[in-house]
Amino acid sequence: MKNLRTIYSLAKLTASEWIRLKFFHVILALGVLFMAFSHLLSSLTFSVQERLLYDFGLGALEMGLMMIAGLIGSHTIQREVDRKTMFLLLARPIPRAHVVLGSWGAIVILSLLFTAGFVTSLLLTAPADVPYTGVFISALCSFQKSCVVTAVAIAFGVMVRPIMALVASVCYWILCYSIVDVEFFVKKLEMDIVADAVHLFKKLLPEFYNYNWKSFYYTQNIPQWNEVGWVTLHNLAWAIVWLLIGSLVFRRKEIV
Amino acid sequence: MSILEVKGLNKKFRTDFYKKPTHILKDVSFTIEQGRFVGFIGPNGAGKSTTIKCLLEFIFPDSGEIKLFGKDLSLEQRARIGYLPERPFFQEFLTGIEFLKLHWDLGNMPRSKFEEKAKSILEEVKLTHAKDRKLKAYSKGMLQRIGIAQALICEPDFLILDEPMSGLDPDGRILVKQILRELKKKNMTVLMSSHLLEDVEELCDDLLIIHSGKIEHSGNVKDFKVNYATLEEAYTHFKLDWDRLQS
Repeated sequence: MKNLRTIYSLAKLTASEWIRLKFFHVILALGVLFMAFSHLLSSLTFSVQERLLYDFGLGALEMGLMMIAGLIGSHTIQREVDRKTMFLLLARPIPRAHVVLGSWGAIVILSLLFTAGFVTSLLLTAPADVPYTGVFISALCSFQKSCVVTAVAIAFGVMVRPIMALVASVCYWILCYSIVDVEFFVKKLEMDIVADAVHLFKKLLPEFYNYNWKSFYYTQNIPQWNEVGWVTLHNLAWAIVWLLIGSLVFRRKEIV
Repeated sequence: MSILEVKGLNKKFRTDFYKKPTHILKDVSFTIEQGRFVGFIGPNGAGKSTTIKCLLEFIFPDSGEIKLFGKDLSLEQRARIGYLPERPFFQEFLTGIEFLKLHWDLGNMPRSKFEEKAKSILEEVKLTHAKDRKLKAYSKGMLQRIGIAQALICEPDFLILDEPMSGLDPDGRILVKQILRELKKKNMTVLMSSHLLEDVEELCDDLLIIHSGKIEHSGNVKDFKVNYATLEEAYTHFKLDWDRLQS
């Protein structure tokens, strides 16, 4: 309970700090723009209005979530270090892992707020016959992916400068989708060592490509609940792995 | 009883990876006894803040031993320390009371006792009137006082103050000094790093002088200035002798 209390306090502090910053407001504004754009695009078509709305809308949701995960995740801890507010936090009897978990918790809260706001607006403004379950599962899946990328961004954020961490986390997110394409092209090259290396590398990435549900198709052909359960556990495990890496690195990081 | 024992602390820093590491702390050893108010002085870059950062585990020494309350450094031991950093960098969007609540929660103190404790500590640092004001609206002196309040709120047994009076106007200094005098009356063990020798002379029982990463003097303030009128005079002579020895 004591551990939860400190993590909760740190998460609340970080979340309330980022909510006040223009950085987060810009992401919110972009979210609204994405939403407006998806409606605009769908209204320009005759027969595939719904398809375009959900394809673009759900894609935009994931983009917004990744911006929150990448931008805030990579900066959150280093920002406290640079502003020297970290000294007071670390002077308290809290394990450094709590700082990592608190930062992650804060961004998860922000992502959850963004997801809830985005999905509610999308559904409220959508035409009749809204596929509630499909949209909910798709949004849940994107939210979970953002939780993994947040953990990645935080872990890189305690190792390198924030801008490098941002680049690394965006590359990681893209690779999680495109590693199968890379594998395919490497096979064509017929270079066994490179193919083995890519195959091994594939094992080090979550399988985002296996559950890319952010499209109109999946709002109509809803994934099975056991698939949703597997995806949840898979993402949770990857988030834990990256949080552990981040905590281990931050544990020995010197705050000068 | 020793509150803090530091033995053979060494720390090297590498500013760039292709440069040779600089030896910042060289075999630093000292002891702080319970109830003593210790002044930690030395020129800029001598290693005062680095020593303090080692004590609080912000950085990790290359070698040496730190014993706090007779035990190795751990979270349990660190829970008994209150700390005020060199310059008050706080979460400025918080109000005074929210800031104290944050540190109360991080210190894992009982929730039910916060109101009572916050009230008394705010009275002690004379900030009751400003408790609901955001920290960004605080003056430098008020920030220093709320910093002292956060250092004291979790009822520490040992206080580390890193230049508590730097950059304060005369009124701010008087108020902070009053608070420190009260702490001294309560027999609190304090390690205070400072450049202001008159404050050290007035408040401190013991003195630690660090130069180029080495503890050059450790002992009673009165003994140190026994042949001189003021601590400043004694320190000036000490420094001249030290420079002569070095050259």
